[in-house]
Amino acid sequence: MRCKLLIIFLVLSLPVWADGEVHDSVKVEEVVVTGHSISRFQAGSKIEKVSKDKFLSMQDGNLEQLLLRYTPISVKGMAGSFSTIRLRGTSPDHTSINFGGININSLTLGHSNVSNVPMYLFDEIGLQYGSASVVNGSGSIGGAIHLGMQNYWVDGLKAEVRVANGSFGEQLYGTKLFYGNGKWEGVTRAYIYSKTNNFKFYNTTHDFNKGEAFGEDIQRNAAIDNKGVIQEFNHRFNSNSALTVKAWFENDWHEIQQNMQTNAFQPSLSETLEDEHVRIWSEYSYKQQKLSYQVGAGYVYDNSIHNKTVDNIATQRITGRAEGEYKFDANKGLKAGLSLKSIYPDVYAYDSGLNNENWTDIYLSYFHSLFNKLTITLNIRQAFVTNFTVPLTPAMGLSYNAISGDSYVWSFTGNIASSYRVPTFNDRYWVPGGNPDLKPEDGINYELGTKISYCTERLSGHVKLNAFYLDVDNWLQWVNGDNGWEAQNIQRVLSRGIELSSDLNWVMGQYTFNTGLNYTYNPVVRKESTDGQQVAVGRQLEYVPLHRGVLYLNGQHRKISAGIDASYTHKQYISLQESTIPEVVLVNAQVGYQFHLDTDNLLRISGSFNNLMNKDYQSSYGYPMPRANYRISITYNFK
Amino acid sequence: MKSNLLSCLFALMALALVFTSCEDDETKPIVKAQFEASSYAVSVDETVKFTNYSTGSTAYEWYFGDGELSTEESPEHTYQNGGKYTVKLIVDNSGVKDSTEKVVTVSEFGYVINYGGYSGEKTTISLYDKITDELTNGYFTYVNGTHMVSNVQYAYNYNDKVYFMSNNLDQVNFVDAKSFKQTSNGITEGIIKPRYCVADGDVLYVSCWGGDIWTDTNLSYIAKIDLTTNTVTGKIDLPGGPEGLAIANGKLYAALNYENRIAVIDLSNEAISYITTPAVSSYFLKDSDDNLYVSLVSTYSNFSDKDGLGYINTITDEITTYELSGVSSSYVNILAADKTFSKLYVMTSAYDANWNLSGAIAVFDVASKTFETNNIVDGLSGLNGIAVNSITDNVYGFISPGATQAGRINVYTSEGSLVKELSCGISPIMMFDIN
Repeated sequence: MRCKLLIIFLVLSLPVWADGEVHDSVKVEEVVVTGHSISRFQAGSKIEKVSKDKFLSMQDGNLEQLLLRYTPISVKGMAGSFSTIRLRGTSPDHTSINFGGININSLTLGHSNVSNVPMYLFDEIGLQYGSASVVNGSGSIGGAIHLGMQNYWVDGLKAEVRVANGSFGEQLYGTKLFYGNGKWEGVTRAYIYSKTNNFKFYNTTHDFNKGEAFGEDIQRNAAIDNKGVIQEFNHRFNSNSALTVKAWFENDWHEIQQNMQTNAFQPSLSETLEDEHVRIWSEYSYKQQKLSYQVGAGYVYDNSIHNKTVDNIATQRITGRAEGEYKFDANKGLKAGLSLKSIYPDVYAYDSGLNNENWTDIYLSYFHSLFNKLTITLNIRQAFVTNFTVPLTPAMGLSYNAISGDSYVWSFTGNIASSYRVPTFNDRYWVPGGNPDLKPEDGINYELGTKISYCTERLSGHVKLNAFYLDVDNWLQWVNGDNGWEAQNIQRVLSRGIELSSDLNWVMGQYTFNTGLNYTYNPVVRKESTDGQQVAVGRQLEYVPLHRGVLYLNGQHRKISAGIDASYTHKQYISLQESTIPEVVLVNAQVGYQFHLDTDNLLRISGSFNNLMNKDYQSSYGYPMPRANYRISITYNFK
Repeated sequence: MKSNLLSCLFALMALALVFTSCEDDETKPIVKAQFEASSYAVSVDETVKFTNYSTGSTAYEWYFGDGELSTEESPEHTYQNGGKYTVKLIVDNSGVKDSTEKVVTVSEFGYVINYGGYSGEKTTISLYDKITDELTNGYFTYVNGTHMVSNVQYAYNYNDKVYFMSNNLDQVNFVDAKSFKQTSNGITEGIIKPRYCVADGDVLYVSCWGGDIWTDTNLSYIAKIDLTTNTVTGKIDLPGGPEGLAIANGKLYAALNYENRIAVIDLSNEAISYITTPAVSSYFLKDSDDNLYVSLVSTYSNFSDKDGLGYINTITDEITTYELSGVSSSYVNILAADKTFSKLYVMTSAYDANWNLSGAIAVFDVASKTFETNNIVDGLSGLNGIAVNSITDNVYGFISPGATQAGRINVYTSEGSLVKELSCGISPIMMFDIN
């Protein structure tokens, strides 16, 4: 019944057409990350940017919280310390997370802990749904996330200081400093985040002394202490060329959240995990009307320390990229690129003979527009990896503006993209169990979409419907094989779905409103399993909800803003058995007020109130999530 | 006018309904049938006590499923023949009845530990009928009405209790051996990553890894649990990752999984001496002479090409070794003896006819002290542990294809013919008997 009510609520919240005087033309917002368009050569791909107001409302949080609150992407997580993405039903290893020319996913594990990606350090988030290996290389079978930063080229000083305080000892202190002379620019972004994380929850673990559930409990030993800084030095030679250097230093420490039973009966148990990252990316870019190119180089160091032990789980990589684009005219363009990567693992469980591995990628992209209505893009990529064969990866897409007027555009898109993932270092080299003979996972993604965008003086928005079909073969899993636990290509997984997104902005006098919904219906099943166990073939994959939707309504009146949002996550299987974590509806709200002290000085106060219905729920089986909680933040901006 | 009439009519009907309901509530007693058996898995001729927890009832009818019945409030019953019996209790109070049923199985049993998933469902226990080769999954949950909360590494029957070495929640928890009921929380204080146990008098010795043993082999120890108070009362520091334990001739033997030696602890003074071995060791089997067979294994951290079996004379503490390549290094039960202790079964990894590495069960002939040329079973992918039926001498291979999916028990004759395949819980690792 609750589910039905929610569906009705969601349907009613679809933006309704309203009569309005036509004034503005429709704007199509392009996703640009660190100066590069990520959509120009990927016609038909579903690429979105989290809107600025939503992004700003999550400045104190992390990528996990942003995705769960405003997107239909599902995330399996613990209470703030560890979480992984399931984009379109794929595994966490199937979504690349890009910072400049670097995919920050761990080369040992294959994925990122998105709880450790602080939103405060970035300016925007780009989301690419569906296979994107042809652009991002290995791993982007389910999609890609782009951590965007903008160049402001300030002349003088621009500064921000932020302080946030929340439930369960949550604190964030952050600053952003922009300084330069219009040609030279230095940017420093830094934050410190900590949380005691001692929230209350209902512990369902059976207490055999009492003969009933343990009952009310407090999460123990789940503290978080993260800190990071991104330092940029940029130089603009002229309007056509610039050099940017950005270095991200991150240190993330947390106590590994214990499951409910350990929390109840071993309350003193504490285990820690510390992650150290250095990510440096520098790039020279040159842009002219016909020709543009970028040459970039980077360095990455990742280290993971469990319980302060001395066993190394570290990798270093040196990476480089050169990319050139030539526009024959406004309607035709060609891009070619070369990407190089050399990886040096230092992991205690790898064969000592493994020194390094080299990756070389070459890629070619072409776009062609016809009659200002139809755009076709063709892409092809080939990767070469030491002692490993990677398939050729082509993609083709098109977008068609079928009907357009001053106030609306109705477009159709289509895309076919192949994708691949080279197994992680752990999959191939961990001893025991790593298997150097693994095949790459390979996927093919079919995408169809339609979008109606509209814009009038008082009303703007869009409705977008996408359908996708993603077939991933040689899906990799660690199984108890012939000689203990080992990595094997055992499965074929089929992920299909429909994604509906809508967004509506309207103005009523001095009030502005924004509402919308994002909903995904995503059946993901094992199509085949070669390990002889057919028990879960045809059943929904673990930790992928069949339905997930988010709904939001925000309003602003002069200096006051307020909003409420709700998310629904369907039940999720936790294993190949029949156990599930139940469906959950979460409701959050936020308010904000800003003072213009003078023309240069701005003070903003905002409050975020989460899980208003005070639900006990889980995102990862056996690990409680916090009930109702709040976060208050004060931000001071100079210029 | 018409609508007013209709409203009055509805109001009267509602009132009538309310009063009718009240009348029913006042006159009909509330009865609820509920009972528990002293054990749901008993032997032939063993008496079962049925305790009646019904409420609101004045009369009882018990149907024991074998044609016998009783009207006592809490009767006892003895089954003469093996089988599964559905026991039905009907309770009555002035004609208001309620009923409930439970199943009692009469046979000889083994109890299979399904380790479970580390981050998902925890251990489940399957009840194995050794006579009919039938399996009842979820036995602990059936008896206790709740599931286990840890991953059980090993179970040990001693003095009318079954002790479980449980991880993630780390604890030693126990059930009554007859009823299989757990009535108190496990012992957690002083227990970190328990592996195995053995008892001597009122002391239960528990090998504990103490943490991430693979990063620091000095963490491990033997915990001493006083079984009269169920508390850890002492600790013997023992670096090297003690795994299997055995007691013989007043000495506690601890197989070390990270050192090429076996610790021998004099129980009178806890002095530790060592027996040097050509490989790390994992589990013991004790023969009728109180001497010990021990599995010698090659692991990634301690490679050896001298794996096989060792035989320890527990008077002299001298060891004789019998090489067998590929003895399994799994952290589960890899050794089992037949009922006369004439054969030892050893879980190994071996090459099959196509030169693929597969799980296998090798046979050691105790009389000749030699391994038989042929394995009784080859090519078992996902082999996770072995056991022997103490009645029929059938051999069990516990198969675990994955960490989150149902496992399998393959039943073989002692010659290796497949008798049956049974689906069980996640990651079955061992079977234990209750004596």
